[in-house]
Amino acid sequence: MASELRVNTLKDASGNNSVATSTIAEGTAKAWGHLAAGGASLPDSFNLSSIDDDGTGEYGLNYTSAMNSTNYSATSTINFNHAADNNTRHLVIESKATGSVEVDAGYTAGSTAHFTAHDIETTGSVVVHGDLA
Amino acid sequence: MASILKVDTITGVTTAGSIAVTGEGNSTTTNLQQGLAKSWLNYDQKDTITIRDSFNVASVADDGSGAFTPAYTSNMANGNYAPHMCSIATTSNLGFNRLGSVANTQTGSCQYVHYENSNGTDTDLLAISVDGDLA
Repeated sequence: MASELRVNTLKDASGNNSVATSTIAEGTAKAWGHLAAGGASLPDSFNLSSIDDDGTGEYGLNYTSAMNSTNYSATSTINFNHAADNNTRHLVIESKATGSVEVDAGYTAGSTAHFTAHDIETTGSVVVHGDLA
Repeated sequence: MASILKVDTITGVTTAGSIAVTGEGNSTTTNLQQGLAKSWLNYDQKDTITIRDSFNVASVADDGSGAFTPAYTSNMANGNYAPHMCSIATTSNLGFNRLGSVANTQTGSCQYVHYENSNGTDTDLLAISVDGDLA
């Protein structure tokens, strides 16, 4: 039978390791996704309903449950194993909305800081922390 | 009324590994198990190799030249998890971080590499976190 427990603080049975339930609500990730090569699919994810392929290296991740504002934290990492050159691969946050986050994949080469869009060749990760609506 | 629950293990009733937590907006729920970080590590690979602090890390293999591989105490369910890494650069050189290889996110471990000026480089502060599904 489903049940609901209302409590302010959790402790272990010895009375140690106290944690407020507000910390659990605030501290847990609200979404994460593992982006596959090519970037337009999510082999595994949490609170992400879909991914949009918005063009070369551009992807939109749509939340199942929206965030309450755009003041949340989104981080991204790319898995790079492109031995053909020394270009540096990046996966960056382009923009945030309450219902989605946009990420851009690409690379920089040599001493230039110019960012060139490129589809994800291996895998990428996105994690979101913040407040749900 | 303030309340304290003393317990060692929390398990879902309908599904053991699924507990809903009411979010900050007081209406939407999020999933406790899915939202918890499954591993994190603060690591020094440069001077005295040290695990400063960690969670769900059994050991860290020093793979040399900026590469290191933490092994999980409790494995991940599959390779489709979301690892993250940040670091401090030893100099003002251009630095970046990456995962070790295409099939890098293994259920029992994951290799990370810190680069400076296109060369794998040991550095003082490496921080990682892992989100995803436990086995």
